[in-house]
Amino acid sequence: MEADLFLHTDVGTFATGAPQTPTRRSPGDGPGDGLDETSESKKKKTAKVIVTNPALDLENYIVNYSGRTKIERLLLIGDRCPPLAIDALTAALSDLRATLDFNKYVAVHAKLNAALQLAGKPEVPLDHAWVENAKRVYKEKLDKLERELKDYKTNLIKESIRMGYNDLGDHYYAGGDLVNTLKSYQRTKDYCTFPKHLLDMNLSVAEVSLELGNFAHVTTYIIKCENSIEAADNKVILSAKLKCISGLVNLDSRKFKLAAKDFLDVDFALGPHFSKVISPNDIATYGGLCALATFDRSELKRKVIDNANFRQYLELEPQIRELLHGFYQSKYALCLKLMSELKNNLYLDLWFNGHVDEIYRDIRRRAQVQYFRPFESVDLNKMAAAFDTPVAALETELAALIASKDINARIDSHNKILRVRTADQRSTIFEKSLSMGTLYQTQVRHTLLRMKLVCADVLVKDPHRDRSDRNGDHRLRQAPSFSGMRGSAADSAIDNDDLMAVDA
Amino acid sequence: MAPPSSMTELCQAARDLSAAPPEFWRTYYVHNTKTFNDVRSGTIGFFTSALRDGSDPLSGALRPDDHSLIYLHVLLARLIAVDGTATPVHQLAANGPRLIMYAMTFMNHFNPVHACLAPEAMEALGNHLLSVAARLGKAVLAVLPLKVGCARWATAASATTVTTTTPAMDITYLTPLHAILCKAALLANTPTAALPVLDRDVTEVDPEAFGITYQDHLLYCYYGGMIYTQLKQHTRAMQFFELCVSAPGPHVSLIMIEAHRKLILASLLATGALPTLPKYTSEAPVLRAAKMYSNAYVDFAQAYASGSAARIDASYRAHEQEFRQHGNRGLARQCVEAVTRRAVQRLTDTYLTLSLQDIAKSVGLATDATPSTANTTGSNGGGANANAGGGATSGADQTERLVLRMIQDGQVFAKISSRDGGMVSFRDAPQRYTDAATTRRLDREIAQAMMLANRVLKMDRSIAVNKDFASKIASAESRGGSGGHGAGPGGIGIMVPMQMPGDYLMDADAF
Repeated sequence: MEADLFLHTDVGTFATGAPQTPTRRSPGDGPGDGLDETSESKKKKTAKVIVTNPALDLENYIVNYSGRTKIERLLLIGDRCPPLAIDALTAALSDLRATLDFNKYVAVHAKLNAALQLAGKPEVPLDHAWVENAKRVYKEKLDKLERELKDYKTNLIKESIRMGYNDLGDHYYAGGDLVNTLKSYQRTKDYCTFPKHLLDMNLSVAEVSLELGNFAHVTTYIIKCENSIEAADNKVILSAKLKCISGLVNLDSRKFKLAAKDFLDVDFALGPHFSKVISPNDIATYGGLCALATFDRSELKRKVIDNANFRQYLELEPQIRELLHGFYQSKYALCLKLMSELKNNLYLDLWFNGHVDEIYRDIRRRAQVQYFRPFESVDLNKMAAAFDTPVAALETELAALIASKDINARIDSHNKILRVRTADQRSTIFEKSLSMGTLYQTQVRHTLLRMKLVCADVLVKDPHRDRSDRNGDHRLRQAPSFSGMRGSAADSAIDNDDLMAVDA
Repeated sequence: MAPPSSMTELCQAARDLSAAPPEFWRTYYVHNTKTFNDVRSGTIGFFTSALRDGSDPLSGALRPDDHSLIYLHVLLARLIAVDGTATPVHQLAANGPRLIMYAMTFMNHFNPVHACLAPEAMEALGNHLLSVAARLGKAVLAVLPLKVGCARWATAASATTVTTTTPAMDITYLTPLHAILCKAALLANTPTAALPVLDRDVTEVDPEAFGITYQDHLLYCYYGGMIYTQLKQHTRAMQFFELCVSAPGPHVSLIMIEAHRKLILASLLATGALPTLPKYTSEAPVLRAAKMYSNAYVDFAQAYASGSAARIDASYRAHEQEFRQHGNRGLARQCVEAVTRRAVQRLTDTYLTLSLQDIAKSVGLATDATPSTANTTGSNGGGANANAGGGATSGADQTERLVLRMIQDGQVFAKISSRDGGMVSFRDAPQRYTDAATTRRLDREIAQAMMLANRVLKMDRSIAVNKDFASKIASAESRGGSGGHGAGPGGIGIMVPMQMPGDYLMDADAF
């Protein structure tokens, strides 16, 4: 998390009062922000992909979200998908009007105008009145809240101070100042009286940290939440939320198996309750794809396909469901077709876009390994048809799989056949034991000789310091002091260059 | 008895003493130390003179077996006289060959027990012998006498120590002649000549009887490693370099650093990776020194382990100057050339059949005829360059030659079929371990292992009854075991092999 620490200190240096542009560093942030660029390039392997032919129904998609994540998602689409950019940015702009985040409003507006210009459409004028108004309201409310908080503090009413900080945090959040939001929420800690308050605080901190991209922080607060889960009004929903957050953290740190497990455990009762972070459709998609990339066949059956709870999520995303079933029933061509259909949408997803290529690669590899498992030999032409790939490309992929020991086979490149490698256990064991025996003998001999050398006091010593040695003077002529050795190498005129020339 | 003062007197005395036991020769040697020292230090006295009747005492008056000590010193005195820088060339040419012949006679017949009385003289003899042969321009002349002498001396029971223990068949002492022999073999470019000696592992070290110092040990291991490298027995070469690098002691010799460099390159050739040094290598000095002086090699090895031909080539180019300075350029170039071979070998794990073009592509021969490969193929160099313009076909041609050579060398097991423009089908190693030779080999290995186990056991017992050891253990126990580690330098040296028997026997059972 170096990148994140870095980010915070940078923000801190010019956090002088007025809210700044949000410094959220999520997988999908746009290119406008210099800070984000560097931290992103350090962490993500997948390059930014521009989608030109999206299959996304923007309205249906975005209606699942609320709050900041909705805006962030729209902005991501605005950045990555030129055909949808204008719609997305307009929608983001109208959503931003409901907040007080005037900095972002101005930035998004500029982006929208750039997009309009690119499309050859007339630009939209900036609503200066709203911006000014938002600035004023933000400032006034901030002053008011701070004043109130001061009063509470002088009166030392714990609960009021907590509320005061909470309100202040909410206000910062509305203004898009996440760093101060986080600080305010964290300050409530000292004024919590009930476990419930503590739980609320922990959850808020986790959520804001998630938005800030401070994942290490998120994990610690999730654990705190889980420990005090008894205090929650609705335990099921809270635990589902926590699973979602931890799933996202694991996804971001590319622990896909853990992420899959988290998403699979999310109770369906969560429904749209967490729309400010994640939609049920996302849970199905993330969970399904991560599971495909990391589970083996029996795990897939047991934990995903037979999972009654997760099946409900899958109903929301029929494509993912078909993909899972197709994979389980070894219909790989269908799977790959579905996956390529899904791909563009995933590139536009806030959390998933950085991992699409890696997860797809893993799924493909798993499919190939599974395809080959029941066979002694496989016709590469048929396999290529099943995977809808040219034979030559498949051959290279398989060679890589063999090299990484995922498949125990060899390629008959001439006849285009993949054959299981017949292991000759007997020869292997002979080879191994013989080499082991030789190795041990060498080691024992060396150790014994070393011991004799030590016993006989034949040690490497500095010959110049050791003139009193019995043979010291006599040997100096030949002693390998640094210059001596040069001499002896030179006078023997033994140069490996010469040796090798003779060999050639 | 008064010291002899002329050659005739000396020979007379020697004849009288023909049947004397070794103990007598010891007192004789001590008695005449001054005279012998004069011989060795070059202030020769009458030792170079002929007999009164003008004949050479070496040709009959002295016998190498009965009068080893005297014969040795007379011979040495003559070699020194001829070897001096002031000696005119014609004199060297006239006397040199004859003296080498006498040396051969001596080496064939000398009494090893007597030789142990004057190891310094033996070493001086070896050095001057080689020097004279080299100045005659025929270093090879020195190889045979040195080999015979080395073999006879190393395996004979020493007069001082071994008399008490039962002599075993496989005992081999380190002699000062070992290193000289290896050097001679390298100079004469006859590496195989030293093999009979090198192939016998040294088991005993006795500085009293053989006058060896750590340089003898280091140089022997270093030169031995070089000989095996030249013979392309890289694994064995690694063992020798490793012995050199891991030699015990608080300081680092430059020989060890040179050996470390060569060890890295030999290891690249044998295994393709950086060598792992034994745990007991004196970490701090050796590794620190290696870091200071062998950075280029470590860098090259890391590039090598990456397996990328481009990176290896770049690293080689970057350090070529340094390799050349250290005289390791040829070895490093062998490594570079072996990359392609290693890549082909790896392909056998992945493919059953593969066309020549595909091989060329995947080992990187197709795009450009890599200059390093083209050059090192020597006689083929011209042909490869001529074909370089031909693109894919030249790559395939080159690959075909490469695969062919690898098949001949037994590095891959494959068949090349000319159908479809060249198809290579790889097969498994034909070694099935079903023949009588395997059984014999197993028997031999087991016997050797048991012998080693016995030796360890014996040593273990002899240490257990050692008075110093017992008292040290007793005092350590009385102090509650805390002081055991801080014992003297001998204590640490003894503790290391003490752990071996258990370990080793356990694995012998698993055979």
